[in-house]
Amino acid sequence: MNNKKILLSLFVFVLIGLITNEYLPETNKKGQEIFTKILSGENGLFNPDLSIYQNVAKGLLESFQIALIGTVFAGFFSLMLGILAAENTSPKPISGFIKFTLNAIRTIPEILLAIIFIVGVGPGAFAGVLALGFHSTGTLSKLTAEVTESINKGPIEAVLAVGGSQISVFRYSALPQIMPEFVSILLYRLEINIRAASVLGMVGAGGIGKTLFFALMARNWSHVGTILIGIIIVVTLVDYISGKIRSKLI
Amino acid sequence: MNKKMTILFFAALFLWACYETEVSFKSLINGFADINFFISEMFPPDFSEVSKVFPDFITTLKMAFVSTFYGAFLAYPIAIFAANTVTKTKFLNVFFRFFLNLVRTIPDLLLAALCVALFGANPFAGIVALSFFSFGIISKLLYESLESVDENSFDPIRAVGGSWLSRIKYGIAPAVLPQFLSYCLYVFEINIRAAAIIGLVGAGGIGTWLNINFDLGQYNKISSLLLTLFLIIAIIDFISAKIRKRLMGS
Repeated sequence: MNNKKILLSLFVFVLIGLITNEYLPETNKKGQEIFTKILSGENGLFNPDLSIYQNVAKGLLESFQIALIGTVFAGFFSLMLGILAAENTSPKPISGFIKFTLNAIRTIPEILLAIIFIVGVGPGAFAGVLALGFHSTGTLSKLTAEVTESINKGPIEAVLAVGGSQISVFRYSALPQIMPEFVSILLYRLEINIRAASVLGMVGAGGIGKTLFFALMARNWSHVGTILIGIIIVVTLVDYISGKIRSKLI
Repeated sequence: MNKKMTILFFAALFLWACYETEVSFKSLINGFADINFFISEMFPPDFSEVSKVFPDFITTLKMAFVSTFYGAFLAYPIAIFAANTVTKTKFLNVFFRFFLNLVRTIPDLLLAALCVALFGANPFAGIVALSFFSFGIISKLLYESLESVDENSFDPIRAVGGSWLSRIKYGIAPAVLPQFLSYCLYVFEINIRAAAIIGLVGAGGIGTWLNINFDLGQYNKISSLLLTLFLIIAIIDFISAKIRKRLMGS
């Protein structure tokens, strides 16, 4: 380690310390008491109230459904858009235009999309489905385009050589090459969407987020604890299953 | 046959989910007028207040910066314990990996809502939430690259009698340093977006203004804030991508 590096790291440490100090909340005895009460008190986070499991399960199921439908819709559109956006399967101006649009879509956060769709279709699960579907179409199309751009030319030439049409080229040489990776990124997106679907409810887009929002507003910590456990279990389960399927695919 | 059953199963699951979440394209088409109105209200953007709330943009950036640092600081030792190339105790590997998987199941917005409840509506709550969130991502990425380090390259250090610590200091740390820094930059990019969004649940920064303007129905101010935010994000992404490319190249 030379002097320059030491000086640089010292500078970073001091900077971090100064910024943290600026935002440090005032602590007093009462604040600490409330803090411990929230965490481990009788109605605290770590004393989950398991009697509301039916409500939580219902919310989690809805979140799962929102994530599933959003991912399937996005998959449907992104298979088309992705192939249209790939440079080797579509003309340059079209591919450039679609890629630009997809980039723009991806910059809009899901929560904002959820708010926009709630304005349109009213609060509820469907608004969440649309928000996730729209956002995921942006990300999935980009990945699909990358997969499409990396396909092997051999099978395409083989189908052309035996006199196949454009459609049979797509059906018998391009699609079989794209499919396994496409399904794999679709499953990966489902994992991300499960997490997203569990918070969308906080702005009114259905799912467990709604239950969580009410529990937080009511300062009902034991309910919040139960909901957290539920979310952790469902996310872990979906991750595990989708990981199994993905490792089988590739 | 097996394949057909799988497809049938997923189709049934999908249709059932559509039924339960009341997916209806009629309501989407009917809602287009409302969405259109909402979006047209956003234009033209009203930039008059952007300079007034500029300090909050800086707060958002500071939150992202500080929490990336804390996340990385915590992630390094944990990643070392989770990687089976560095820590040879199987029990520790499994334990820390399980812990990391648990951490990553909790979505950022949910963490923020919890921290706001615990620490009050201020940037500190956001910093705690984002630090935890960054910790989850960085430690996962880092332990995966620790595992991909060639173990044979540490043989010389072991041969001269180097301890476990000196193996980390002279063998592993320099080997993964470029990746580690690159992950930190990547997480910083994610954190800026997240820091802006978690303000919606009260965790300070520019998201607070988004929330206030939304409640007041001043949509043209929201769009000006969002455009400024996109600009800042684009600039930082550009710089960070440049640095990451250089890091990974060398």
